[in-house]
Amino acid sequence: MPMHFRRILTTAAVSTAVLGGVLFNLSSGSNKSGDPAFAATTPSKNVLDLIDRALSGPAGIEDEGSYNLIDPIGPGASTSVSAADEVYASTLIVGKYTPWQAYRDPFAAAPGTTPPPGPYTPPGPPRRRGGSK
Amino acid sequence: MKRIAWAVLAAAVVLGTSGTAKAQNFFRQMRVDSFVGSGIDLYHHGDYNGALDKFEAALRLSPDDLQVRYNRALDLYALGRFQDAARDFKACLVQQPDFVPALFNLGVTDIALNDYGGAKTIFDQILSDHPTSMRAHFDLGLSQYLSGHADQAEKDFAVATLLHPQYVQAHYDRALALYKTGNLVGADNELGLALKLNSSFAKAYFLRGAIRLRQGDNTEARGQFESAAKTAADPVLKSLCAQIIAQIGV
Repeated sequence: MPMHFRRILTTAAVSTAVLGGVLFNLSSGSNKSGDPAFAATTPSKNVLDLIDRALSGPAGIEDEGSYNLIDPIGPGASTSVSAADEVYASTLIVGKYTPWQAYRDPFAAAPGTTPPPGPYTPPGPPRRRGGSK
Repeated sequence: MKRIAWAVLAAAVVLGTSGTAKAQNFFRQMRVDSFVGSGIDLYHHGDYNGALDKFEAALRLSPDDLQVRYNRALDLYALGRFQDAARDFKACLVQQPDFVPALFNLGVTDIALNDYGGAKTIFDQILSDHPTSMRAHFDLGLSQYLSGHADQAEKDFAVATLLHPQYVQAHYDRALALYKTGNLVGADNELGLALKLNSSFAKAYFLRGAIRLRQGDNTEARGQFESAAKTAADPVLKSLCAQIIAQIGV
């Protein structure tokens, strides 16, 4: 085989190898930059296990907490009608319950109001005689 | 004359007896009310055993009292005696089938008993009559999620968030369900809404950290887990965050 022909073959082989390498690198590089999934370093199994443990435990599904049940009914507390309303409501209604008052004093003032003046008023502080001096 | 005297005497006896019976009923009801009142007070102060004693005493005096049985069921639930609570709620429903609060609470108790099929049936039943019941949608979502149907759960939580957009728990649960179905972008959007409503919601930061990690953004993931650790009140969650941060090691 002539010398120059052997040179051409060698050059072609080397060029093909170099070009192939460059193209391979370019194609993997474009994947890395274009798609975040390729950029991601897959989280280690340990980390994923920790995440799964949290999401099925302390970071798991949220319920209504202390309001998950419709609360007591009866005189002084929520009535059965308002308890049913709580179930049907299209918004969250909780904590409407009032303290139990089975034997309400009929003469007691309504909550948040002052009692009407009656014939008897409790004694006030002793008044000083003789003006302000 | 004698006849009249006998008639008057008989009438007096009848009236006296009925009066006594009425008085007895009145005083028995007063005692029942007193037990119930004390029971509810103890229940609201967290003394569930004390409350149970009161409700039991009230039921001994008035075994058919629906409200007392209902209250005892709530108390048994609070004590973690879910089977007994379910039995009482069912008894309430036998006595009064349209007693919806008992039906709803039976569904919640079924969830506690891991009877998700039973719970779903109950919440579906409530929704068939009242399709806009936010709580029924939310609890149906819980039943679906806990029985492994995250895709179905997501739909119910979505309705709950539409009905009550300020319900931060519903946003979080929807995000969790979306995450489980692989919809990381949807889950992230929902977490954004949850964190807007409650900026110290540790679980939301945690889930966002998990999303960022899966998206390959380790730096951002680390930041989210740090926020979760900072805002978490639960020491177990704090510890898990610390371990994850150490593993990420950015």
